[in-house]
Amino acid sequence: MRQSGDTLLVSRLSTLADAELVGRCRAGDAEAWNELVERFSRYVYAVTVRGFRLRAEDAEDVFQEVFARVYTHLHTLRDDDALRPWIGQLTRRLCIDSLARSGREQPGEPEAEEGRDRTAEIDEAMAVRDAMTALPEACQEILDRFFARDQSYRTISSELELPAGTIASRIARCLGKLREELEGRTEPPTASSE
Amino acid sequence: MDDERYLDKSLTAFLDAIAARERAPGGGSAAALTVACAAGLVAMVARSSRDVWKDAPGVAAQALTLQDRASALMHWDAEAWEQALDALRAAADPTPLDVERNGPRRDFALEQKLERAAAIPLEIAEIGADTANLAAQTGEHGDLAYRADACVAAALAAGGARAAAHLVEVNLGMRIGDERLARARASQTAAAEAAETMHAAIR
Amino acid sequence: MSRGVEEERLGALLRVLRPAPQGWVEAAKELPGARSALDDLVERAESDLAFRAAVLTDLEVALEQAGIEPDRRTVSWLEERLGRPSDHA
Repeated sequence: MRQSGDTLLVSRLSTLADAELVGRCRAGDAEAWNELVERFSRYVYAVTVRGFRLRAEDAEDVFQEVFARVYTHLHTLRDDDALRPWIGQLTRRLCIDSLARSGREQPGEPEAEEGRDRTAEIDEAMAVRDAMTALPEACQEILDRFFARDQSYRTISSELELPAGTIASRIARCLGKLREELEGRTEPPTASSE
Repeated sequence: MDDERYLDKSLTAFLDAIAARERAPGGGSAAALTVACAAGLVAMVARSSRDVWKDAPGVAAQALTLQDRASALMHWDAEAWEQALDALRAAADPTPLDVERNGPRRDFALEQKLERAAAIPLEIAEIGADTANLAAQTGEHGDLAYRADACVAAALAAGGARAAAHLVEVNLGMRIGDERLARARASQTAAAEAAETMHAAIR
Repeated sequence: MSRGVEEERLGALLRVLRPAPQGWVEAAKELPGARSALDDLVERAESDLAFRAAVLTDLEVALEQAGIEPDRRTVSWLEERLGRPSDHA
């Protein structure tokens, strides 16, 4: 278990807007950089393996290259609020380059186009994940463990110290809260435009 | 084993493949498919129970996730099992050059393949336990008109969990006291208890 | 869209964003430190011709001596920075 000070720091960083996080990274805040990686690692990973279906080795190369370029060129970002679309665009471009290098694809051909289409679903998933941050932490935790991390009811029960027979109903209710949160937002979840 | 993934085969072709003399698809793939069918039934009952049970939509979502996970393992189990068999054959009859060159590294690679071949049926067993659990809740709270389907789902899930736990236990020579063996047995027991509870309630 | 389908769609979308392999995440977090060491290496190679020649003779060894993991990506990046055509994909 983390010490309370670390937990508080991580908790504070996770509540920062993207623009604030960018500012701290530019100032050399190492913990802010860690938070940036954590915040976008799932997104970049999903674009590489689910969006463009890169082989594992190629996906890892693109993943590391994305964050290397983000780190190197963060100072060139003109609109700090546009961090996510910038990272998304960079990731898609590097995926297409990777397909071309591996001989699987030439840019503009069907596989690259299908990759772009699949990334629309990933953008929608990011909107859902954003909405999830408005839920109680217990709900965020249980939804993530079951749906995204493939944990069994037994594991969730044991690690969260909850009665095993209540896990499924808790998940169902948290999912209902997530739906209500999304319904309550002014705009429905949409794919971000390029 | 051909390159076409089992999920892409017609049901007839998959059933023919199960019955063929090749080792894969074998018991693990059949167990995974059984659990996937059970999860599908749970989703059906939950979807049909929306008017009587407020948790029904969320339960349906969970059942579909369990179905998705189980069906994905149909193919992986066969692949992992074939790799483990190949490795076991090579270990049983190595060439002199192979022994000279690879020795301990070969043992490590074999161990890794056996580990993977055990990990997949373990996951199938755990998904089976969760599916049986969900089936029991669906039978208790869902529309009574679909209770029989919930019972069938629980029975299938328990059968799939038991089959997968057997694969973990016997086929790969799991060590006494191995934590994964305990997990497999716990999944088998939990699934069986959920199914039995459902059937006892309607006798 | 009916209520039930919404929960199902949400469940499916939650499965889209799975955790990246922990090793990948840790390596990305270490970038600032690794990049700083690399920048120091390049700066020295650019100001010291003898050192530059030694680095170009064996990039992997030079990286190891600088305390940097000589993985394929890093070697390729260093080659590019020092102006040597990369042999790596």
